[in-house]
Amino acid sequence: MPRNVTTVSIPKPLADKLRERINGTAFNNLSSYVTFVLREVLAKVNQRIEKEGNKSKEAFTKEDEEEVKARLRSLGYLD
Amino acid sequence: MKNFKKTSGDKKFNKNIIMIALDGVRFDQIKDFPMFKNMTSKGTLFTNVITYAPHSIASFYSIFTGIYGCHNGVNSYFGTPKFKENECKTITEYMKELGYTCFGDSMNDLIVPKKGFDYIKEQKAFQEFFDSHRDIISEIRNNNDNGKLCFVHLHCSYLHNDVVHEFIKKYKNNEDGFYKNKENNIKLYRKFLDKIDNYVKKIMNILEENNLIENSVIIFFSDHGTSLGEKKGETSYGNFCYDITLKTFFLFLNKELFPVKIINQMVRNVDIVPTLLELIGVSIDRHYMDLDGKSLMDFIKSSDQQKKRIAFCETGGISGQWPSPKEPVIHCIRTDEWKLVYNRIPNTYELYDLRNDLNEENNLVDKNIDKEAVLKAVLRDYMNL
Repeated sequence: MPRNVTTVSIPKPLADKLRERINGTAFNNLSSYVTFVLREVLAKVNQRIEKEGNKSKEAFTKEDEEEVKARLRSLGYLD
Repeated sequence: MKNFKKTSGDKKFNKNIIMIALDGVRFDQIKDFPMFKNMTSKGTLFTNVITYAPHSIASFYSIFTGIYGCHNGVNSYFGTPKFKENECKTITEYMKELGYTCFGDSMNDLIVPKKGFDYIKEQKAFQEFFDSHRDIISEIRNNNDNGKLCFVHLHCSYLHNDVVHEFIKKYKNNEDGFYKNKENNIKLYRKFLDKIDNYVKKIMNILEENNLIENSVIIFFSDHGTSLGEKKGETSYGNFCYDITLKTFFLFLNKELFPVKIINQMVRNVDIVPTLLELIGVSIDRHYMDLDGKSLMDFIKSSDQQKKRIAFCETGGISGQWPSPKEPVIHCIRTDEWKLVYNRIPNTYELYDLRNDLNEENNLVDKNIDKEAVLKAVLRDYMNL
């Protein structure tokens, strides 16, 4: 095994389902597919964290204001 | 479990907590409705609960955090995005840490902090929600059958819907018509309350059918009152800090834990979190912002007169004379006997002797009342001036 990779265990039924999923795709094996999925997940998590961080820095963005207005409108408070 | 300590290890709290918000309900108007009256004879009733804000958004955030909006960040109609969520721990989060399943609904996503909830459904604007409440109650039963206790929030928004249609929208361009029709407004409001009383009846029946009465603490409460034409400049709530919109109530129901008792002494809506924490035997998490509320358990357990509390309230209306939906412009200090209001715009004060002037009609400011200076100093403290 190359030194820059490690082993992670996943349930066998899940591995079987994933193998079915990569049939006919560009992924050569299960490991490359799982690596791809996890990278995607991690990128999304990081994006969310960054977005939340910016949000708390700005405290009240134009986007927030529009969202609040829309909801106040749905409550019948604004026209 | 982390960040909090159980204060009593002797007996584990083993009941569901079901909070039922009756949006906009005035205790002075609903108290004689049959079902509500019947319920008040079965538990501990606080008749004089002062809300931090006379509108749902800041009120619910103060209820769920035990912290005034001037500290938790949500101090206005537009305040939700400013919630200091990393500094405030909600009652829902405490319950979640205890292993409770936390769920329920809210009239709108702006209103209740979501932290700690497994899920909280948003009601469809102005749509019937009762079936959803029935489903939520069945979910409590399912959880209990699987050995899980629940913390649940139900939002009864019938009155909000009626008030928006029949008062706010209808009198938008003819406020004078609203104030001239005060008697009619009261009649109409009481008609709306019929629906609320019926809701209370149906909910209690469903809780009973699901065997949830004895193993749950059920809390009926309101978030704010409603102006019915008593004060010019307000066709519903949110514009001023008068008692008609500030006064709310708590009704705690559980035969084993809450004696049949009526407490008229003034308390605050921020007192509910510390009350529940004491009830379940959990100490306040000091990693977070200090609470403004204090437990009400002494009021509940003891027959002695309890130390008087001071309530702080503030608001900025969406409409009215001095609209300010993004930050409060009217601030108020209230005790059992006195109320001082500061109108930031137009920089005026109002002082009322609540023992002799329940309707707050006789402004005693600048009339050499010794309380005035003291209350002004206390209010300045709250406002950090």
